[in-house]
Amino acid sequence: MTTSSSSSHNEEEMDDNHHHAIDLSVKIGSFVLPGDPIGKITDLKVRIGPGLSQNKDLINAIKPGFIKYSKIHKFYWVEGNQKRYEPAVEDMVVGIVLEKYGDNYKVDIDGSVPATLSILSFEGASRRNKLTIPNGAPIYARVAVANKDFEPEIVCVSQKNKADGYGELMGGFVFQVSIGHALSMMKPTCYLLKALGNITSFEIAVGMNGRVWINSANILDTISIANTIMVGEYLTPSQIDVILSKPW
Amino acid sequence: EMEAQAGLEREDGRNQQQMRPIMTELGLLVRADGSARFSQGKSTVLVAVYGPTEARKSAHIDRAVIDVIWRPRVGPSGYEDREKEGRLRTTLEQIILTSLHPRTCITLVVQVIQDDGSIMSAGMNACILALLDAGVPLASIAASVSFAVLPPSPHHHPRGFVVLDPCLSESEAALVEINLAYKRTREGAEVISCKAIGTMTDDLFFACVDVGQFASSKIFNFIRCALEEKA
Repeated sequence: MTTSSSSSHNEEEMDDNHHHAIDLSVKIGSFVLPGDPIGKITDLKVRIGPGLSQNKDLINAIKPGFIKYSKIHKFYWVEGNQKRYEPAVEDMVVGIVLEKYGDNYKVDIDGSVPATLSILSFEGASRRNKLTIPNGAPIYARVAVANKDFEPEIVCVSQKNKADGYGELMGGFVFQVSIGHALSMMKPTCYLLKALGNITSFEIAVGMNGRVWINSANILDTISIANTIMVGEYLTPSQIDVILSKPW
Repeated sequence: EMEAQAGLEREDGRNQQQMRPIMTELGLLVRADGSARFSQGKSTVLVAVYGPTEARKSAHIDRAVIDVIWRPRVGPSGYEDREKEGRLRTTLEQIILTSLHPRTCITLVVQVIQDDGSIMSAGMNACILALLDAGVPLASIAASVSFAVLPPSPHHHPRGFVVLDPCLSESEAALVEINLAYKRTREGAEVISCKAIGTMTDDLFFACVDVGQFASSKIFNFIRCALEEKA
């Protein structure tokens, strides 16, 4: 039921006294396939996340990946790698504005349907003070509404109604990586971005939908950084150093 | 009937209950959400999964629509390919959790690269691998196996016998062909799809179901290794 700590878990440290809310039949961090039984719920104060499905009190995996657990949030989920993004609330995404539809923008966030962004969801916006964003512009936004029955909705304000980095991204270049790579780049331990930062200066916005926006001083730098990020998904830190040591 | 003639060999040297070597490559198509190239011996199939994407006129309000396109190696697709598409779709509808993606469409394109028998099984196994590669939510994983009953021949098998995973020459000579798909359950494997052509006894059919259960559990382990390595 309890698991011992392992160096591969950088999510949470496990101590042997920890009481899990699920009577686990697999180890946290192990690989699971759809249909694998995960365990039985023993404590109702638990959150079952993406990749898991609940049937009365039994939990099954429905996606391939590694079982992860967050002690603070009592949250279980399956972390797998896929290309198509599934919008989830509180995710930060890089979207491309498709068109203006009345009082809303239709934004492509690489999910199954485009998301709506209200023109009032910006800091300091009101009926009289409206922001216009041209079609095709990239924006950084937060997913506010996402479930299987509705179109997802995004907003360009933080929870305290401040801009906080959200909004239109000026200039720069947008490209796509896999969801897993985007997630690893958002962690503070990402070696790739630190190593790039030591060589050149640039602005970056990583979306949990697998889209990355970068902006730097000139085009050559931008292209080089984009290429490095795209190939850097499976490279170890020493391999990254080798690539970056070549003349820029 | 299957145990009694366990010593008999087939053209390619396999024994009755032996499958050909299976191999797969995942995520090889850049533009598809998921893809898998799978081969059983020389029978090779490439499957691309697109979706879930926005569905228009064919949308259901409570679940995803599954669209299967089977492309033969040469020539335009005919009625036999339509039948394969229909069978794949009804089998996959039992595996894919379509209620998690209402008003969307999940498209699977199955391209036959080489057909050396058991191509329907290879197609179905490739579809499952491609769906796993794409991260489409599934209730469980599935696997498919095929059987053929070969006619008696004076030198090799005087009574005629059943083989697992027939190659093309064995299929063409077969009196009976059985194709089964299994879903992995807590107890083992459960048949979710079956097509049998020819005259056979109950015993023969259920013997095949049993051997198929064992063979599909091997395929399940293979699927696990393939996905774990990719991760």
